[in-house]
Amino acid sequence: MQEEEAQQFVTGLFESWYPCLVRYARRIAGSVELAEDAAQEGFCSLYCALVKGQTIENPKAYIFCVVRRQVAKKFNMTNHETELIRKFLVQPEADDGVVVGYEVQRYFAVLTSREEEVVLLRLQAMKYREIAQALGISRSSVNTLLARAVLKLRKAMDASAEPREANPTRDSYVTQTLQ
Amino acid sequence: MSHKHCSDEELLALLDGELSLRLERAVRRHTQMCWQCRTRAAHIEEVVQKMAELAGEAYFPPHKLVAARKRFLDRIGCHRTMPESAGPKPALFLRPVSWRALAAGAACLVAIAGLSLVVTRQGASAAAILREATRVEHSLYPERGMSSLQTFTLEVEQIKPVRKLARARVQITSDPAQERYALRWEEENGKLIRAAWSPGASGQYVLSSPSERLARMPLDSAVQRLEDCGDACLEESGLEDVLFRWLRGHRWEPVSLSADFAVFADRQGTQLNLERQAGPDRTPILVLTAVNRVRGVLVKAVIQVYDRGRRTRLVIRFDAGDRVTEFRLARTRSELISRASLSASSFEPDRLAEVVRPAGPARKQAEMLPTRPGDSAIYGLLLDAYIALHRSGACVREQLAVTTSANGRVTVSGIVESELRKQEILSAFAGLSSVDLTIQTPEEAARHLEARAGVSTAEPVAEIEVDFATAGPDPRIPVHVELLKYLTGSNRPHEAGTGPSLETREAEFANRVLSLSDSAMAHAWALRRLAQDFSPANPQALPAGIPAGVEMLVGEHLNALREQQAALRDLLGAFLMTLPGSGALEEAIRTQAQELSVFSGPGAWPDSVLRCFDEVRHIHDSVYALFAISLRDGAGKSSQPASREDR
Repeated sequence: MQEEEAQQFVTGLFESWYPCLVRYARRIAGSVELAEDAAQEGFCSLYCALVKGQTIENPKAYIFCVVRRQVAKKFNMTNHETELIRKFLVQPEADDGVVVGYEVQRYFAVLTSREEEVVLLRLQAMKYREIAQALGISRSSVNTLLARAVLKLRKAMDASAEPREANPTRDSYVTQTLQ
Repeated sequence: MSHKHCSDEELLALLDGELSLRLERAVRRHTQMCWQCRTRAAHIEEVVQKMAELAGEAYFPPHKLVAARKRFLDRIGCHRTMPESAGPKPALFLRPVSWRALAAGAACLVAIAGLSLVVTRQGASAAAILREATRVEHSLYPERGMSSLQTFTLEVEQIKPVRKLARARVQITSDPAQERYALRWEEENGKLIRAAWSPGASGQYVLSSPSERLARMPLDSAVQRLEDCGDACLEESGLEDVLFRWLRGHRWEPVSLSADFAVFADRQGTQLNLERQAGPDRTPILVLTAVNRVRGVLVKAVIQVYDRGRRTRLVIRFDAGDRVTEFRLARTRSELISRASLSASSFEPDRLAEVVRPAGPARKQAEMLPTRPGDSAIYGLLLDAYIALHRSGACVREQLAVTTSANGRVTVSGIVESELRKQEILSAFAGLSSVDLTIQTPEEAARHLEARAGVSTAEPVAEIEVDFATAGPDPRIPVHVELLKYLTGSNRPHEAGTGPSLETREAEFANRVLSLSDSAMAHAWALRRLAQDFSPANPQALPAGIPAGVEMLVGEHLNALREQQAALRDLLGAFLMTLPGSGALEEAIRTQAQELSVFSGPGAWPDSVLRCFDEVRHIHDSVYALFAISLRDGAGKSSQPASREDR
């Protein structure tokens, strides 16, 4: 692909996907700056690949994959560490303007990091196949993770509709998350 | 599915439209009749809707998006305006630190190492290699501007085809300040057998004594074929020179560059792999492999440096299949010397060269190169010539002869129809400087003959005009009656009044048959030439890589021959069935396809191809006997196609 053509193509994607990408990266990276850097890197990487003549079958999955890899590389941490950081360090920041909605964050506390990633990507209107490519897992795994996440979210929603004192476990979860 | 409840995954995938058509139909059918599953699906949909609503609350500040887009455009703008050379350079293939000891070795061998530094740049050329090699050499001296004299012991061991060992002493004097160096290669008894020197950046010279006489030759001629290095393995003094000239003579385009492995390709299809490995004791090894996709591995050079203490040992092993030679260079002495103590004759031994210079320039060249290339080189040249002919289509159109002289030179000679065609064929041989070409147009050939005969006394040859109306008693093809009957037969729709006339159709048919037969014959001739040139008494004796190239040519000619014969069979089959007495020809054409499938392995193909040639020629003769117009006149018998216009 020519440079002009590649620039036009990637800029077009940038307009629609950058916010989703930053939200996603922000959620897994915990820092807006890092999320923005990773998103930028994702688009630049796609542009370079297109200019070099590589065939990118699914640009969206490619960018998300690059972003995810960038964040993981930055932290150089295992999934377990990511989970801990997500639970104790990454808190919603109302003023950074790019976080996923506050309520959603609250419900995400019941999900594992993998389930949360899958739901986050699905919320960006990605197909199962794209999610699978971005995360490097199979399509059926995406389906299973999503179904499991929906089940957990439903329970969490049902619980939130009940009186607070009726569910001390959920209360401690929310408290822990908000602090 | 109808009697079994759907899983959550299936319900979610149904709502997301991610099920296959078959499964989707089954799940829909089930949910229509199962209240439980429909309710579960509704609950899932509720959760999804709630999450989507909540997530929709998030927004992205427009100013942030504008700033991010500007940043992105700046980044890719920088990328686009950045020149190639200013881009992030790949890691150096060889680290100079690792090769510090190598620099103290032979200056020309440093040039090889320098190649690996140059190769990290785009489009490395011979000049760039030289410059980089010089720069590397200079950068590795302990003190800039200081001259040094180093002495090495050199062992040249020929491992294949005959094992023999020669020992020598090499002295290298270098003056980096003035970009001069000199190398003297002496036998143990002090007899000078080789010298190389560079009196400055302007040029380099080699003094070699392959036949007891020294000849001076500037390093400006390129070597096109790396097999020459393999041949030079026998002439140990010429190896490094030939390899160096070969590297200089090619423009290597980088294909892949990484820290420890680089691949380059030249325009003749040779691939140069440079690989850096760690040997035992963490000694660096440079493996240089030249591979041609047709001829296989040309040569493999393994360069290894041992640096234990102050004693450096360099091992270079050249492996050209049937010829293997190993160089072992060990530094015994190294000292810095003042420029005042340098002898001018070290760098400019032209006076010595004047004394021993041979008489003519042609002799210089002859003495520098091996008198007769090895079998591997001759077969390689032959194959290159045939591939060039094949590429230009001359292997079936013109009958150009490919011959090998007694001294191993390959010559392609013949006459082509026009100057344009000649240029086409010459351009196909553009990269093959080792092949002699004597291709002439008819006019050139006539002039050449006149020049050889001295004075032209011959009358210009008038073009033979054949008047078909009066050429003979019967200007029609021998099977005229049968063919007319066949063409007007009940099974052949005759488009009277609308199509071409019967005579035209007859001529077209006959010309088509003859054309197919001619084409098949041309391919058969090409196959026969290949079979004769590449069928030694022992087929296994063909050098490595050659059988693959020949097989490619033979395969393409066989495919073309199969197509021609199949078309001929389709065209002629029905007609021959109506022709009495043509059973043998029909049988021959029908079984030709089976004869053509006899190419079974490199050991059996020459005989099979020769048999196939006889069959094709038999068919060709028969076809001409049936469909060519016989002109019977006083001069004898000749055959002409049915219609000259269509030919």
